[in-house]
Amino acid sequence: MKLVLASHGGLGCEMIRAVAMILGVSVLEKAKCVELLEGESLENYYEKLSKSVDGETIVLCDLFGGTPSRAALMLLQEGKVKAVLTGFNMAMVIDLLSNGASSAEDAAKSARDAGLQGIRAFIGPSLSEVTESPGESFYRKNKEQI
Amino acid sequence: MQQKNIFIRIDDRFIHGQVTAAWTKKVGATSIWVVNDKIAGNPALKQLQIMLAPPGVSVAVLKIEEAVEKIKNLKNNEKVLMLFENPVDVLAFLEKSGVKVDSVQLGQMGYRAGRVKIEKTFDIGPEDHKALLKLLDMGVKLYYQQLPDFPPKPVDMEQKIRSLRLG
Repeated sequence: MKLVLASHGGLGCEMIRAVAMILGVSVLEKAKCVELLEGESLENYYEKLSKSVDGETIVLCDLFGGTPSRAALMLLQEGKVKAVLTGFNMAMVIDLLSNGASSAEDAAKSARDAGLQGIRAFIGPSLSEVTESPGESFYRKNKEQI
Repeated sequence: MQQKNIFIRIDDRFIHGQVTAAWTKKVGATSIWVVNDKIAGNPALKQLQIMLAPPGVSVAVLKIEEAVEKIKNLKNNEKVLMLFENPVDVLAFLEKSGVKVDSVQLGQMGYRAGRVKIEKTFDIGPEDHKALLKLLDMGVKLYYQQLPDFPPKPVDMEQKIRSLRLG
């Protein structure tokens, strides 16, 4: 499984370096990054990204709706990548590089779960935690159905 | 007829996640029309545009001719954010529909060979320049603004566009 992090600026490249601090430098070979430069067109970025992927690649994007995700979703429609995940965070990338899932679908599901679980909000000195959010209740409802 | 309930933005990314969400909110749009012959004629590109729409806003992906027809039935309580790829398409739409607008917003046109940068995120070629001049002559104000709060004030482009010499 090949991972490509697609992001605005150097976010994806730095994310890989950050994850390497946890999982070791082998990560640097398993995951690549493709930067969107300021003012770069979708067409140009699409070309750049398409050169870094193959049919087995999972693309991780920083922001759903942004240019990197749009290029990635276009490649997915064309069958040129295996899966696309958006809104990457460290927990998600770590999971993808270490969950050992056999299929892209399992890997994507597991990574999404890990990414969601990694997002928590604490308020005040008592560390009270915000537990309800539209995302979470949606996530729980879907889990109950499975 | 002066059409008050449409807002025209040129942005070659069309519906683009948070950028479009910001403008939809600012404009108070009830729907977004993506007006582009290529996207309207391609089911995959169309699907992506609809998928990227901000929540709670209806989206239509239309060819220029279809937008010309659809605007005739626009109700007064509707507010449409219209997204075009370039000024040539905007001009074609305004001429064919006879719709009059106060202003057109210049948002983003990426760099390509043969284009000249006129603002940070706006590059135009000779055909675009001609269309922009025509719009100015029709009394349409042209403002550059990429995001609602950045830069804080829209930039009036008339002088720059009129003094530009291209191809």
